[in-house]
Amino acid sequence: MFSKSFRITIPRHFGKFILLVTIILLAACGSQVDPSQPPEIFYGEDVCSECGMIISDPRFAAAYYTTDGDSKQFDDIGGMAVHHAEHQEQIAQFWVHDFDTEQWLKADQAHFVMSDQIHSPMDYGIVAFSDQARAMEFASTNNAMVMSFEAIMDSFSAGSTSHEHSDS
Amino acid sequence: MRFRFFQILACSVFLLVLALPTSEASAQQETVHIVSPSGPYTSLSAALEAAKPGDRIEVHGGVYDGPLLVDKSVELIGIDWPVIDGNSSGTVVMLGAPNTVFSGFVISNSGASLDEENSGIAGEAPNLVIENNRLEETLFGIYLREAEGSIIRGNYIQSKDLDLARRGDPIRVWYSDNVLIEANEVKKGRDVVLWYSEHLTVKDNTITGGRYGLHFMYCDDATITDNLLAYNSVGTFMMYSRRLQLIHNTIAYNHGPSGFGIGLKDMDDALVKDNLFLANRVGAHLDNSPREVDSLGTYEGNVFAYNDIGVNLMPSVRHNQFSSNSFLENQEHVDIGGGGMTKDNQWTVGEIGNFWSDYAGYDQAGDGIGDEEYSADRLFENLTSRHPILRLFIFSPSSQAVDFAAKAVPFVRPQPKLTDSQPLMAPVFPEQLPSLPEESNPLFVWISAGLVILASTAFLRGGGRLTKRVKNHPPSPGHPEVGIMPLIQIRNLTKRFKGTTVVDRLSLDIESGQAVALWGPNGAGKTTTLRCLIGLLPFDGQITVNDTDVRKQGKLVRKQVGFVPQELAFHDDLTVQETVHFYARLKGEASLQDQQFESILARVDLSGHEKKLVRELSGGLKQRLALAVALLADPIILVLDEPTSNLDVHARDDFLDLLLELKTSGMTFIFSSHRLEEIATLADRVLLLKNGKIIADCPPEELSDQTGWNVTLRVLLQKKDLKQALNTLSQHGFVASPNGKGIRVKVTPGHKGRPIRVLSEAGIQVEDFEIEQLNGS
Repeated sequence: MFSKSFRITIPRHFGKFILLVTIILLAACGSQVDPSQPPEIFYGEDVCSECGMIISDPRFAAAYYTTDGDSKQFDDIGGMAVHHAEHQEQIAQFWVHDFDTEQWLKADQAHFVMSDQIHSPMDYGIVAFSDQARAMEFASTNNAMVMSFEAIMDSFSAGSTSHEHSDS
Repeated sequence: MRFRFFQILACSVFLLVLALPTSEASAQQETVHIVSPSGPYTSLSAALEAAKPGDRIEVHGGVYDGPLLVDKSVELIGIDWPVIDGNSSGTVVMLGAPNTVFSGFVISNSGASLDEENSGIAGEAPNLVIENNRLEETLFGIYLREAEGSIIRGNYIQSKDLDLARRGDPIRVWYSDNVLIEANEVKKGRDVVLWYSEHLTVKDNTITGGRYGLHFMYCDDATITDNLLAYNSVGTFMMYSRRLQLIHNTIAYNHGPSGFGIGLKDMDDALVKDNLFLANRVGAHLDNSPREVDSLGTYEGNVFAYNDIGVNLMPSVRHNQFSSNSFLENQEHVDIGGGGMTKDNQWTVGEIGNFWSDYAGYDQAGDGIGDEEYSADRLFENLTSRHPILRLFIFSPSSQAVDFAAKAVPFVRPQPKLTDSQPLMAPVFPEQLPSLPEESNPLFVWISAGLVILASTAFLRGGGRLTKRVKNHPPSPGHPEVGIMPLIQIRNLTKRFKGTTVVDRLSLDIESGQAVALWGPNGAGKTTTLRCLIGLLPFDGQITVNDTDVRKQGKLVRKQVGFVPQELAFHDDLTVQETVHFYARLKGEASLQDQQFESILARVDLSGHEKKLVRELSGGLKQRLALAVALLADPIILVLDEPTSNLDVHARDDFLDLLLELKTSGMTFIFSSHRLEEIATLADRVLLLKNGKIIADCPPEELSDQTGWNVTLRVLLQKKDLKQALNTLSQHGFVASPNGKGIRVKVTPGHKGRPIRVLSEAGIQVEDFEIEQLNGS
């Protein structure tokens, strides 16, 4: 008797409710998944997918799209690398910012500098440049080398994913 | 010679005495250097150049250009607020020598380069004291690098008025252990950043209007006490650290984006104690904390009040213990990311739970702990945990509709996401918390008042409880209080099973001290009514026992009611003593004193049977054991379901005697029965039930009048007496008719012996008699 009334009354309305919610959710996020366009970050409002902190500074902010259209945002390029190493999602595109112009860059087209002397939001100390010469100049003033995105990601992959810093 | 020697000695002593103050004075001139617009020194760098380590430089007023590099361990003391102006370029003051004291200055106008981290005061040496300075229009305020053992105390720091993203950090401590940050006032900065520094002490600071009040990474063994963290986006976010102690802080109105009062990520063995979390978006946000399997998060004595969410647990967060916290009027006390339960987190620790302002339970024992567990299972909350966007609908009619549906139809009720088995009845408010400035804190004042009100409400509830307890004592017969308010009120009690209405809109009042029998054929609804009364069955309508709603507080009701079921379910291999103790524990009377035990056994006439196994007891003794168990919590009402149906005649009489004794002592009875002897002996009132309705309500004597149903006594007589007997009985008002060797007499329950007495008095000998069963049953 119980299961009967359950089946008849509740799920019907409940289902409608959930359906409505699903439609709202789909409508809300279904429109703008295009990995070839940089994602939008609302600075000072959006929260880092890795550390949970507010993303305020575009110079260090990063993002990626997964192949199934999900996007994640990060306050620190290092945070993105850690997150990816831990979650191993299928990536459609990684995005970073040019440190100087604060324009979005596809990560595979950027030149990276990693240095203890750069204090990024989570202190991974990674910045990106579109221009290689500028990256080299910045590296030399910060006692560091220019790195490819692959090299950056490798340094966070298996075995070295923890957030460790050597004393300077 | 000798005289001369003394002369010289005296002279030297004299000179020495004269010289002493002089040399002291000259020493002072060497260690204190005065800088002022009118000299002796007019520039700080000149005074510094002249100074030796350990010297004191006093700066009396004036405005001086930065940058200033202090590379000697000196005391730099500003008097009358001398200003060091960085002219909007670079860092204003750099402290590069250990043990430098820098106090009493106004530092203004640093550069604005985030890359260069332009600061008001940069300290890069151990044991610095940076005290009582005012920093205005600086990008970063006080920036310590490898400055272990330093003190940042009593400074006022207001950052440049820039976009949050362009602001620097008002205080930054980097690779500096054992730093004390005390009594600073920090306004409108980005974050107070504490990184890679152990054994930090952060106390008595006021940090407002920033992004992260505190941001804290890799800082083991930090102590954060008595701070005010308010109006920031986030009060404090703490990461990757062990053994944090966050105690007695006011963390309020951190309601910006993300809006956590505190956030913990990968924090092991944190202690969060006696803090006030007020009107934040989320009071405490826990993400992967603790991180290590063998570590623990401890949250005790905190107040979470008027936050959107009191405590937010990210999925799979576990090993946190919450006790003695007060959750007051948060839109949602506890939220679990991704829904589900707060598995492996404890809300009752060592018999101590938390105060929940939506707890509807009661505290019968008066020990400050609710009798029923608290469980948070709002359906809408569960939905919002999974779909945060739904939070928009909170408080909307749709939210209420969903919750209403959950209440009305228990099938959709979700698993409780948390339970607290020992909820506190009154909130606990830590004393002398850092307070918000009066003008900006109407809610703070209001909430303090609210807490007082809440506390007094709780007190009043306690007062009500006291009143109740007085009422709970079995009232003595004739007590003026008796009859003022029915002890049991049943209104429109309805119970259906499988489409059959077993109890149908039954309403009834029972006064204290009454013994009420439910009488009627099988299936009339007697047992069902009793089970509803003690809250064993869900039902429609309302039942209150001693002013307590059975449906809402069934557990509390059961404490006041002793129930003797028809079918006894004792464990055969336990002794009487073990059985009583077992049930005592079940009823929450943890330790039954020997004395209590003996008195209960004596009350039911079981003394001497303590060591007997249940299996060895006769039916009568078992029934008495059941009565003993029913009497355990000192009930004021006894509910019995067919109390003597399984007993032989002798045991039945004994048991009824016992019940009568209890009745005399003021016990209220409600029992079902289909035995007239039982009813006649015990009941003051009989309710005749048929098809779930009361069709008669009368004293037992009137039962036959009310119903037309009779008890018939068949009296067997010698044949010669038959006629006389018929006459005699008729004369005494009995309805009698001859029946073979005897006479059938209609009798009133409780007075079945009267025909026999009448006949005996008339000299007619009664050979034998029997009761004929009722018709209609």
